[in-house]
Amino acid sequence: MKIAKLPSSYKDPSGFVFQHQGKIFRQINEGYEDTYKHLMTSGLYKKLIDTNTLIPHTEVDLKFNKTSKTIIEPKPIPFISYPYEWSFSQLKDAALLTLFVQKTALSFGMSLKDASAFNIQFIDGKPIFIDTLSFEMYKEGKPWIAYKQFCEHFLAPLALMAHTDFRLQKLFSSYLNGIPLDLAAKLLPLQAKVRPANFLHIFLHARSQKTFIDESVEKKSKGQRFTKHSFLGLVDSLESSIQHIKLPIAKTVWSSYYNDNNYQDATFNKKKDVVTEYVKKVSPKTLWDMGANTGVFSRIAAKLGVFTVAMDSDFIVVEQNYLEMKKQNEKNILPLWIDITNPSASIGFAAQERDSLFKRPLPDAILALALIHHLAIGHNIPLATLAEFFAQMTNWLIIEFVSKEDSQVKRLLQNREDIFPNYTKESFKKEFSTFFVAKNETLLPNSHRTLYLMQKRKS
Amino acid sequence: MKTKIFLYGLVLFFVLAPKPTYAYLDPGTGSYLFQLVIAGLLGGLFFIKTIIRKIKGIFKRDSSRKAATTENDENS
Repeated sequence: MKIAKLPSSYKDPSGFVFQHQGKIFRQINEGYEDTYKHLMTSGLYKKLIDTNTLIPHTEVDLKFNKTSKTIIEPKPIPFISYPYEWSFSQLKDAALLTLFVQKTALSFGMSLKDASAFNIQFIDGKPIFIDTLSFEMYKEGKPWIAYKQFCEHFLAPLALMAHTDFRLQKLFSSYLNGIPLDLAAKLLPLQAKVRPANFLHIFLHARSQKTFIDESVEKKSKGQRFTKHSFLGLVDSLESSIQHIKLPIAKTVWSSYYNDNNYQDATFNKKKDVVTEYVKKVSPKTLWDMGANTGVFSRIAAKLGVFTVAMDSDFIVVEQNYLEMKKQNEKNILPLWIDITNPSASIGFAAQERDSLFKRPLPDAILALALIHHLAIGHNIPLATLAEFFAQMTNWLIIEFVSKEDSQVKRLLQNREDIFPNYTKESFKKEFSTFFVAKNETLLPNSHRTLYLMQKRKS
Repeated sequence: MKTKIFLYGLVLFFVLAPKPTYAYLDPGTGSYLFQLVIAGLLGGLFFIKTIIRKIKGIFKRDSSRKAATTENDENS
């Protein structure tokens, strides 16, 4: 039987990840067996599981090609997300988790051989380390092999977001191996460059990469040792660097949406009731809240036990959503910074390493509230195209139509020519009826907004 | 003959001695050497920090003990 290796699992010779009968497994190669045994028997695995920082796994008896290699089945992750889809605090928490795992590993005689942000996923609002094979035996005297990667995957993007512009987070999708330190050094403003942590781990680090290029490590190091004390000092220095990076509070268009829009309390409460009723009717297992804002409606679904991916194109509301769920210790929500008009594509080696949004498991239902006017008017996407777009993703759609009389739509049209004669409730219903059957329709009181529950037509 | 034995020995050494290394990640020459350069600084800072934390810890313990005592006093 041929094993279907995941396209992203090619770098590490210790083992690989594969899919079998819809489940994810990890094979441990012979050369890594002893290290894996140390992880399991030294107490490190138990400690990390107890602190909810490493994905738990069970060893399974799957025999492939008559080999007797160890195969483990990690606990499934509800939805794989990538660093370029995370908010500032998600990346910061992922960085701190990586350092916690590294510190814990060191106290059990092991060390992380990589520090990739792609090794972290989120479950119920908390980051978790998913690469069980990232550990190696700690060799006293050697520097941290993953120092460069840690700076490129965490420190540089966080510093850029905090000190230059949070939108630079998207650089990550162009630089999958992390933000080159010389680039980060160039983009950081002077006042950020002179901060000791940035000066040391980004600026001087980048300079030394240039200085020592093509040098022989053996010759240059002259047998100099990197003591365990220095190693712990390095991890400690990185930890306090990360802890001190703070995102300046920025107010964007959408972060104040619920405070200064045209909603009346009665309308808003009715909307919540209708969404609750529709979600209950469909009772999906998974839902995507597209244009989720700070997640008010995502929470309705999440509280009903529906796993909800809350996407928004506005960075700050995603940040607020994440911080709120962290504060309230909420489950079932995954806030992600995704622009529906330009969602994550398949990228990396052979354009297969990181899946596009649509290659990941599609949801049972989609919530599209106060969204259609932005796509149809803000982005000139025809209603017929939108209807087909939603039909490709889901069987159930809870969608709000906001008509031209609504103040938000008026705002979109105030300084431009109205080239949307077809943007009417009638043509919306007509175009969507090609792909969906409207099961329910509720006009929200004192508003120009209607909510629909639609089911995809059987083809 | 001696040279031959030595060569065979060398080959044997390379075949048998080095266990496969699984450091698949290139640490980057610059990043590796840079850590050696700043090793002293990192170690020194860590040493000072550890001492400061210990002192702070003593004060914290002291104040929490005091707080606990005051609470007990109030309760009694």
